[in-house]
Amino acid sequence: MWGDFMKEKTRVGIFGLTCCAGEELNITNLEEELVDIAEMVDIKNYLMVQSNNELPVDIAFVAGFVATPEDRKRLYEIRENCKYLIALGSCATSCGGIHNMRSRYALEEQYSEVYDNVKLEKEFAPLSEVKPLDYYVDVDYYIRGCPVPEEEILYYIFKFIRNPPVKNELLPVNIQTGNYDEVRGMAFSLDPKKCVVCRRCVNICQKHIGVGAIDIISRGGGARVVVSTFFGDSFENRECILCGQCLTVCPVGAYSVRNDVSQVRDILDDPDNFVIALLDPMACTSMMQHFSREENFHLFLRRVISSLREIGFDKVISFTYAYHLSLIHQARHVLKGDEQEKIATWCPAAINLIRKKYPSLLKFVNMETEPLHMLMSILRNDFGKNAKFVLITPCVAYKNSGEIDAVLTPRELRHLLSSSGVDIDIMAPDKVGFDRECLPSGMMEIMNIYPLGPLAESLLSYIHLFSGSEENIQRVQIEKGVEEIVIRLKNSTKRTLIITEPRKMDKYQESVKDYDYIEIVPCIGGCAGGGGHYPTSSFDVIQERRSMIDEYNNRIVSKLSRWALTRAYENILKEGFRCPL
Amino acid sequence: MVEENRVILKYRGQIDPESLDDYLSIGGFQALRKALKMRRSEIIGEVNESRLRGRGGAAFWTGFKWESVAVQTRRPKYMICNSDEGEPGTFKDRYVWETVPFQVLEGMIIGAIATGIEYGFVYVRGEYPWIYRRVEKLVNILRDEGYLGSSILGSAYSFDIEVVQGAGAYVCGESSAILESIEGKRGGPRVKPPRTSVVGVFGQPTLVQNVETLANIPLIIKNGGKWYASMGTRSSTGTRIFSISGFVKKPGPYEIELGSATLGEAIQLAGGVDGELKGVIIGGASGYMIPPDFLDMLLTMEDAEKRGISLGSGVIVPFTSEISVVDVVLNTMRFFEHESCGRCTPCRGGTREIVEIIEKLIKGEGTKEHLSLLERWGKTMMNASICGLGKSAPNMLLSSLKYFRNEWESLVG
Amino acid sequence: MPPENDCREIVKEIVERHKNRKAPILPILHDIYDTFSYLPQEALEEVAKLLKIPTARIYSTATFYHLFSTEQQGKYVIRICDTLTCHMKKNREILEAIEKYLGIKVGETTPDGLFTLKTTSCIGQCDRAPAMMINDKIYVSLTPEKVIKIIDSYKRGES
Repeated sequence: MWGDFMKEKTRVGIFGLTCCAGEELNITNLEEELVDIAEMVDIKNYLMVQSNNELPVDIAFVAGFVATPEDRKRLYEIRENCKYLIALGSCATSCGGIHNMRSRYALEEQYSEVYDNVKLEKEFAPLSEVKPLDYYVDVDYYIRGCPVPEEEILYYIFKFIRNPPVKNELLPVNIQTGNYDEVRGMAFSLDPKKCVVCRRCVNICQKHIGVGAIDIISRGGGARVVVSTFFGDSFENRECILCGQCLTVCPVGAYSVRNDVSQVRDILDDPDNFVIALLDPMACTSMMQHFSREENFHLFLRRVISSLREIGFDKVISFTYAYHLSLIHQARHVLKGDEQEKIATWCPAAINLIRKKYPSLLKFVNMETEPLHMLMSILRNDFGKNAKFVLITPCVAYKNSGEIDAVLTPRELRHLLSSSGVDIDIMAPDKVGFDRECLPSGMMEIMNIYPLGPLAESLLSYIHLFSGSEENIQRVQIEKGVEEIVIRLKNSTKRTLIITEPRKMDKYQESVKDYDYIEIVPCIGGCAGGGGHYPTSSFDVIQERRSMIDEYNNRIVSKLSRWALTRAYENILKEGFRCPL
Repeated sequence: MVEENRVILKYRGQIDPESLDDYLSIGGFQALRKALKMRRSEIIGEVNESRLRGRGGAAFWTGFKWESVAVQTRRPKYMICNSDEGEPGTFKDRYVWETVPFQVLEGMIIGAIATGIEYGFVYVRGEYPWIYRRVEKLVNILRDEGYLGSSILGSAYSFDIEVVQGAGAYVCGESSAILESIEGKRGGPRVKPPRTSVVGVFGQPTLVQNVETLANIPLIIKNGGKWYASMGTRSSTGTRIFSISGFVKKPGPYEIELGSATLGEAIQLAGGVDGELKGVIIGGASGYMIPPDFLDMLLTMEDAEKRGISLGSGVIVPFTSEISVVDVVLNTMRFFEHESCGRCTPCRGGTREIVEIIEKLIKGEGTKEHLSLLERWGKTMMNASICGLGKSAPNMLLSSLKYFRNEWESLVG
Repeated sequence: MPPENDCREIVKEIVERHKNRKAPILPILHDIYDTFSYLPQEALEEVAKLLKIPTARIYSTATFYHLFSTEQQGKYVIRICDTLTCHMKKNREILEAIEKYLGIKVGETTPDGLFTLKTTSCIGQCDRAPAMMINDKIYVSLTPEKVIKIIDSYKRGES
């Protein structure tokens, strides 16, 4: 059958539906080979390049996706008038590519955001569903890529000149799960349709965190196996501590954080509200890595602050204050040997872990020292009833906090800013930087320092400060994921235990009595590896975030004169820092 | 005319399988008493001399397996009698349990003594609930009579058995999956290394043996390894119980001395084919589909290997011309799709894809290229799957494409 | 659905029964299945609590095995073997006869809650194919007539 076509030249058509025309352009980039191809085949239809375009063809390369009813009509027309239809490029072959990002929101919502009050006419409306080509027509072959590399296009064109494409060859294998409902949660949800059962999330939850809130369900080939919680119950109702490490390791984005963007927009839009952003500098690190051309973190942070002011935040306060409030308070009590303050409270996921898995250790936890709680008790007092607070943090566990009005992860912040028309990179860096409300000056800059962690280090510097003794700190790694820091003071020795592999806590829960301070860090890399960041599988990327914060801290410290530093610490000593407890 | 050589099934129908006295009267537990007086190395030596190979399907050298567990110094060590018998077409272990169940347990105890194991599990598949109840009952009897417990027959050895019931999963017959199942998790096979003899159930060294393999042990100890090796061929010693079913006149278990009969003679033993023979399925669903040309093949492991197939768990299912090869292959692939544990993509994806392609072919929507696609999928699964299920699932498909190609080609234009 | 408190009490007793086992989970699940004809969510929750294992893990185990079910089933679960020899020996006819007689398709339960019809993988009765299981009992060498008689006897409560 194919031999007949060789007598006459094979007729080829290159089409693009709604797309960036990248594929079509890429084919023109073939330059020299294109001349050879044009001699071997009969290019009957190639709108970008020629004016004489006809159907039918033998092979149709179709790029782009079906966005409008016109596209759909065109696609049907192409299918009827060709022998083999080849989907070219990611948009055509898989989920609709880039355009699929709009399918998360209702068409009406997007329409009103773009066109404001213009009515959505059914006749001119785009299709509300975004589907790949094979949803509408039978596709004979798939060539994926964005764009498809030139060598590959050449390979396929020459291959198909000689032999017709074999249907279903190189199809994406149907291993994605179907027929299971989404596992919903207050902080994040899991979409089983996207899951490819790679088990990274299950492994990290079972082997690193030691909790095992999710597992592989059912059995069988095809689409039967899925990752889920107990009967699909919400994460927070089960053993999950909401650390969000499953989000960071998932390669297909099956987990999505609860989206607070529209809620924050509503808060900002209400003229009666006085809106305060609590910005955690760590949240900005991954934003800068993934979306900015900026190379100086300090400047980037200033740009974020000005962006926040631009969209309507009345105040932008550094969340590091909360950490310092808690640290200072805890340092005092650890120095005194207070049993009730032994376990660090700065990590909400670690608190969840204690509450759910080691409830006998709750007696060592003073929830009042939780940083957000301490900061909010001061701020709510200062700013009154109409104040609304939005926390911008890479921590997914905070999404479940009742203390705050909304929580934004870096991605959500990015979405909020860009949908409000703000490009962080072109915003001028804020002249003021963080607002210095609520806490007396003289120690402000200290409170800006991000306690990179483990927090125990910062705690120990405070302890050393309060005790007034010579510094003598020893750091020992007991085993992988477990570290000890010992500080010798004038009259006592303080021992702290830092567990960066929470599963090991099983072994050490009995030894809590031997230590003065215990810190559990569920996220890999500390807050630099928080679940709300842009996911990355590379530890180098997480390290980079830590270096950015390091640099930021050094900058603050270097700007402070010795005199200012000493004054600041004296003030802290004198309890002039408004501890709410 | 070839005859059975009933070594294990000798007393089938003649004794009450649940009566300890009956078992003692046919010489039961003499081997155990003898083994209690032997040194461990001597016991393993006899098994080595017998050249007994595993009867579960993998045909691994039993003596060697025992040695590899005996040398492990970590304690405790465990033993598992694998009675999952899920391979379609197999029912031999059921007959062993229904004839001489005490012999299997005796074999287990001897194995435990020889390898320094003090606790064992018998994993009986969920589809044999009466056998599970029987094994529990017999284990209790043995404990009461001093054959199990902290001092076996007054000796310094201790060994106890816990009986676990499966719940319907073919993959749990795989030696690392059975460990996961016993630990109470989903029965997904583990990646090896480490081997189960080093890291097994609960992370401890474990010995996993098939029911029929263990049933041979008391006879080997009682009569000597040399006696056992005198039966069969050099590489395939002793007898095997073949599960012959399908289109034969007398389906059932047939204990045949290896090398004493060809495939055709075994089928004759089972009464011959009821109709016109088209082909034979040998080895089970993970086995091969072979044409009548193979009837002259001697039933030994090495002869099968020479001809590019394997005896597997000893399943022989002749079928006649009324059977559609494609339909049987589709049914087999659907079976594997259900039973795939879902852990690795080649198996999880491959079984589904192959089923879909065959369904398309049957509907008449397939092309010749689909046949080569089936072969590619089969080879991918064989190369890339983590465990035996995925690796051997395409055997029937590929062998049918090789030997019965005309039936496949009649589906495409 | 069993009343919740009774369910938890029964499960407590079952877990206690197997406390000396090194491998208690499968026996516990079997006993729960035998009591309730399926594995209720409350029962699994209680097992996880008593054995101190994550709930996701017990759910993973419970959904893996095909002889269990986390959804309610009929009092009698009919499992027709649909592999290899049974498949070749015309088990289709048996299946169709049952479907017609009970008025349900594979995977469904009769409205009176008596029978659930399923297919299953090889149950090791190949020499007496076609074969089936109803709950714990095996029925072999089936014909459509024989199978109707067997189901009738269950209906009459004789088995």
